[in-house]
Amino acid sequence: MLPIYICEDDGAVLAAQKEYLEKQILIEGYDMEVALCSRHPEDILDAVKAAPRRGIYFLDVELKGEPMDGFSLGQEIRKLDARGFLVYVTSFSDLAFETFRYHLEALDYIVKGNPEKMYGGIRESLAAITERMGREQGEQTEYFTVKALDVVKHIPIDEIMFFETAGRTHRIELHGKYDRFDFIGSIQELETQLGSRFLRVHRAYLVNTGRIWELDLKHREILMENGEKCLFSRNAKAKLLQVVSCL
Amino acid sequence: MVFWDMFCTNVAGVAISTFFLLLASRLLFGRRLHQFRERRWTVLAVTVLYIVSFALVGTICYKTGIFGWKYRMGKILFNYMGMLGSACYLWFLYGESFPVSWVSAVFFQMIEELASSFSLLFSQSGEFNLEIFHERIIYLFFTYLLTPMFHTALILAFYKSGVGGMCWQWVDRNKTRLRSLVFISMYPVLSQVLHMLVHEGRKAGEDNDMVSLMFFLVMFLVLSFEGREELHRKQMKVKQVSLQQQAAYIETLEGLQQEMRRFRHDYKNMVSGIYLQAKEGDLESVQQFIQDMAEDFDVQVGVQIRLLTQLGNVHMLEVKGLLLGKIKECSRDQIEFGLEVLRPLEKTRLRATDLCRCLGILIDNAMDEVRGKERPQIHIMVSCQEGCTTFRVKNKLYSQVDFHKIWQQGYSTRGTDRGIGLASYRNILGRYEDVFPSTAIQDGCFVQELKIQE
Repeated sequence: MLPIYICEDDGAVLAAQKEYLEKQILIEGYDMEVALCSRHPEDILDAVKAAPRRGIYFLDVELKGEPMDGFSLGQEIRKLDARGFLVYVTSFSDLAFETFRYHLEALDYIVKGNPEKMYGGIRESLAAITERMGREQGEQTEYFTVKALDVVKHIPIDEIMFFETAGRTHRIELHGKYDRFDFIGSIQELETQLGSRFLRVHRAYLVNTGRIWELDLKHREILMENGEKCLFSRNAKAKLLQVVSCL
Repeated sequence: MVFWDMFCTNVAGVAISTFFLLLASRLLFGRRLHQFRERRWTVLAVTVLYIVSFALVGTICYKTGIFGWKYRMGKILFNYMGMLGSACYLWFLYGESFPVSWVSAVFFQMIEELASSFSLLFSQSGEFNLEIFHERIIYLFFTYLLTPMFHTALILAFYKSGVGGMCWQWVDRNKTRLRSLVFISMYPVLSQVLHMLVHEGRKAGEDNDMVSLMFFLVMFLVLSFEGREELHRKQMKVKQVSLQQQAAYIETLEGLQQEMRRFRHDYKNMVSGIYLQAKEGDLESVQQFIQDMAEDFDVQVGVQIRLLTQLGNVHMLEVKGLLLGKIKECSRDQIEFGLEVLRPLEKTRLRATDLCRCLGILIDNAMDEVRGKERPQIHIMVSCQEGCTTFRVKNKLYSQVDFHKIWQQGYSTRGTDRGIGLASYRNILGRYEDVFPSTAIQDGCFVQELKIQE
């Protein structure tokens, strides 16, 4: 059962949210319960610390008179519950949702000015959470997870073409189907971490063998599925041919 | 040569240099004599007195052999006396403060010496025995013809190159004056010392170490002057940019005020309508009205206010200016501009100019992609967390792009002649160690990210 936490500084809105959530859980038969409603972020954090598990959080963005705002509260919650669902409740004008989604992987935001809209938002969020949990159970996709300074990125391994050492020390560039970015790392470590699906074909390249399209033996170039090219060394040739013939 | 002869020759010489003194001061001061009409006879008398006493002192010094003193002490002494005389004379003529007159006198002395040494370049020995008639003729030729020519040329050159204006700027600036005053007053001593040093200096082949040293000093002076000028220019530029930004900011605020006025107008009409309905007890209409009002406000005025609130968190003037410019461009092209700056942006490790170029490239690309499309919008996020600043530019993708090709120079979805943007973006970032660019396609949007480790 997923616990729901609500942090909201307006008592009336808090009560309305709680009532509607409980009603909605009953109607839809969700496996959730309202665990705690509070005006104070510390209460929420204490409760999460006491019983750490995946939860749902409805958080007000602006918490008047409290030491932290919704964003800082979200950061603290993320430290305790990395996979929880954060839904932000806001009066339209102070919205910075892209930032919230970027840093906190917030799920959604709800505008609280109009009760009908707020209820609609709550309904949609609960539905989205249920849908996502269902999807996660059936999901087979493997992800490559890497920390890029202050955020963590998850890239499906199947979408990675190759890694390249980018000129500077400890700098690796990931070439993906839909991503391209730099991060700090070492290609040797990546090689051991990623296992047999990736082959070190060159001093500077670690290639996803499943994504190779063709080999240009004359110029010692590999053409990847997305049209990108990378080099391979003489030593890697035999191994590459073997891998490609297996595909 | 007897005393009297010598004195007469000197009077003629001093008269000429006085003429040049007047000419130079007239041109370089850029104004007429002080109260010339009222006291022209006094001026004439003082001029005559000045010439005569100058010539007399010069003759006495020559005859008593003061010029022959050791280390050219006599020459220096004479120079100081002459300069003091000129300073008093100028002070009397123009009514400037004494330090200014003194500096001018030194300066004119320099010009005069420069002129005579130029002309003496053409003579063989540079020294004349005035007792011999033949040498006296040559001396007179140099003194009365060649030197005045050079003198005129020099004064005109200074006049044309605006040296007078520069001197006045220096005069106006009080702070550093004392030091410069002392330095300038040392001119006769310094010039003699330098002369001796150059003269006695060690000769290495064709070179003289003192000459090299002096050249080096001149270079140093020129460079430091240039550097100062450059700094000044840069400061001016920054000021200009910040002025422009303020102008743009005010313009935006004024636009906001216009919108508020429009809104107030509409709202008054609406309120008078709803008043009647409320009177009749039509509660539903009243509720509907209040709801519409709240939304209208958000759409009409709230959007602008929100944008300005976010922009207010950008404390780097350059970035603020850039964003303001882009906001204006977007509103012109009817592109919806989203901006989020949750925490204040104070500074980044990237130089402001580089950062602006990078952001400019990213935002321009995003704008080009959505311009003219259906519901065009771009979104910019600036996020400062502990130890890390993120800039994120996002736009909707309307066409399929070959994701890996955008990095190639010259590739563009917008036809030829475009697409140098991202390549130069990479070039700029290549100069920094702690910068992490990232590009992605997420949910049908093109996302460019620039992370800076602080």
